[in-house]
Amino acid sequence: MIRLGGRVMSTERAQDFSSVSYGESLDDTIRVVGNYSDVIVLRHNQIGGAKRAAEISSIPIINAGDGKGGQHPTQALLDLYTIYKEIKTIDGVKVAMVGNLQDGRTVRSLAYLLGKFERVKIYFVAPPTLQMKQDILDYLGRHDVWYTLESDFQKILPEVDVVYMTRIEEEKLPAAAIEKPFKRYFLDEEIMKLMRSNAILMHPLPRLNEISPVVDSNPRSAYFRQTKNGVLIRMALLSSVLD
Amino acid sequence: MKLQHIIESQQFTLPMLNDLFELADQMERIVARGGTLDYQKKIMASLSTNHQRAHGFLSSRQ
Repeated sequence: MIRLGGRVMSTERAQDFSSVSYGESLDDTIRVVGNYSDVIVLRHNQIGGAKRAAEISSIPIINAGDGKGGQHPTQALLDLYTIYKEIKTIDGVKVAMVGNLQDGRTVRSLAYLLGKFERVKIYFVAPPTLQMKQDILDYLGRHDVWYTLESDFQKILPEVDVVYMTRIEEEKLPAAAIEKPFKRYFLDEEIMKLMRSNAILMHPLPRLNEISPVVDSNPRSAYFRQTKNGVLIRMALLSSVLD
Repeated sequence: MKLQHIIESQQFTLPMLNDLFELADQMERIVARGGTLDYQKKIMASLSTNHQRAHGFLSSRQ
């Protein structure tokens, strides 16, 4: 917003110190903040929070993530833009999504977008307890999008054009399983050699332990270019709702 | 391209995605020139109701 010349008013952790802490409803908060501003970027802790806000808002609402296992459309749009810029096409692309797919908003939103293109193949790579939810698989099935569920990370690396890593939070795993899944879904210099020479590595950031900083300088590591693309896509989205 | 709200990925069609990417390419040129003042009268409210990490839109860095 700043690069567009506009101003930002920020209320993070609104439930702790804004009027929300006094029990103000989402509806009232949106109506009040709508009088202060021209667009609201909302991260809400419940799935569907942004949709509810949009139904009563007099100004545009941008969903910046709603609930665990909800959506994060702006992240998915910048991810798609990154794939387009790096691979030069989206039709026919093979994408591996790796990590905690069950709760991941970014991978859910990206799967919806990839499903709009031709001959896309999606590899969902996760421990069985953290696999992609059925509603996304059903959506892809209805749109004839090829997908597969995998737990072997290294096996699929030579097959794909894009490796999209996400966080696996330690607290999501049973204690006995922590060591093994973390090692299994960890990418370092040696494991990166399994990737195709023209494949790219993406991550929505911030990362935990899943990508070694050693590979940051590898040209195939696209996650910092991804953040730059995020600025551009979000500028484009803001201009599209403000014009 | 005029959008009202941005709520979920499914709302974007292929022509909309094409328009969005072209607009983002334009934004890259604008950023290279140091930005624009076209929206200097506009205010973006950033509202978060959870404790999770936020980069991107919710960060005042952008």
